[in-house]
Amino acid sequence: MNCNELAEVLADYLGDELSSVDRKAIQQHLSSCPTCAREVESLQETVTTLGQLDTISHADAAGQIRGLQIVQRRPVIQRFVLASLRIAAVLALGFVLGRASFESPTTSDVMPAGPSGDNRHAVAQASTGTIHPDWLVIAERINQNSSGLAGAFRHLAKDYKR
Amino acid sequence: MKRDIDLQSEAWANVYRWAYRFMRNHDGALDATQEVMLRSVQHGGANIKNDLGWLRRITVNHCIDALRKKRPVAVEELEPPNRQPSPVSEAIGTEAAEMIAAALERLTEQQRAVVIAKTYDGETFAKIAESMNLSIGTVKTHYLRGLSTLRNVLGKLREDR
Repeated sequence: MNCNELAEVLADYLGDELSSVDRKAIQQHLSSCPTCAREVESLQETVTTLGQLDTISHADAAGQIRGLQIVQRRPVIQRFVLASLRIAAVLALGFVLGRASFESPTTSDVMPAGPSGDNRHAVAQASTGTIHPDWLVIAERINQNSSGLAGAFRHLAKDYKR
Repeated sequence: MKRDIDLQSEAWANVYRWAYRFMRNHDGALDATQEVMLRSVQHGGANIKNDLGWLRRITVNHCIDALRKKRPVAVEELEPPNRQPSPVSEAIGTEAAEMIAAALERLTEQQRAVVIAKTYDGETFAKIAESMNLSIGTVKTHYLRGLSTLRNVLGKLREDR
């Protein structure tokens, strides 16, 4: 074997894919060629260095990852924006509900209404002007309608359509 | 948002093993495994676990990035007074892992994939060629050039330490 022939099978030699016969022929060449010997030895040392990084067994690895879950995290900026929007939404809702409950009429403030769609106008006449007439209508409907808030909204929707 | 994933799959145990090679501790390996799982779900869904070559490349690349970004730890922090010092083998393993990761980073993607598959998973050149859709000759060339570059880089890194 000469140097060129060795170069053709060097990858197989380092990768341990040569037969014992071929390995013997290479070793014979290396024993008589210092240049090839230095090259092959240095590459073998590199393979050995890489091999220092051993790892745990498959069974141990399977045990280590038991119970793992993927937690998909949003980017920090996105999380901050979403959190801010949520807080703002809660505050706005609280403000609106707070105003509505503060200003919502009591039963005695609401005029008794008939079954027709004039209720909205009749109630609006009784409004102090600071309360949105729709809230008064809703309150009135709740008082009158046995189906409660849902029914009140349904009637309100019908009134708007007229 | 949490997603359950089929942990019975052999693929994820392999991912953990590849990660552990470089991170050298459970927490680092676990973080890397979770990251790879997440990327695999985003990339290809449930079937990606069958593409071990892709998983291995992603895992190794992630670990190399993680080790590059790792903040150096002072020696005092490694040995708290109320504990026995870490065994020498662990310290050598960590240092070797960082050095090898730094050297692997200098390879091309294909050289790195071939060297990793050959060295750590013992795959034949024929199998590597098939999985990477390359000729066997090209794979062997990548292997030799990869080893040659690693030899030069590792030699320089040892001199610098």
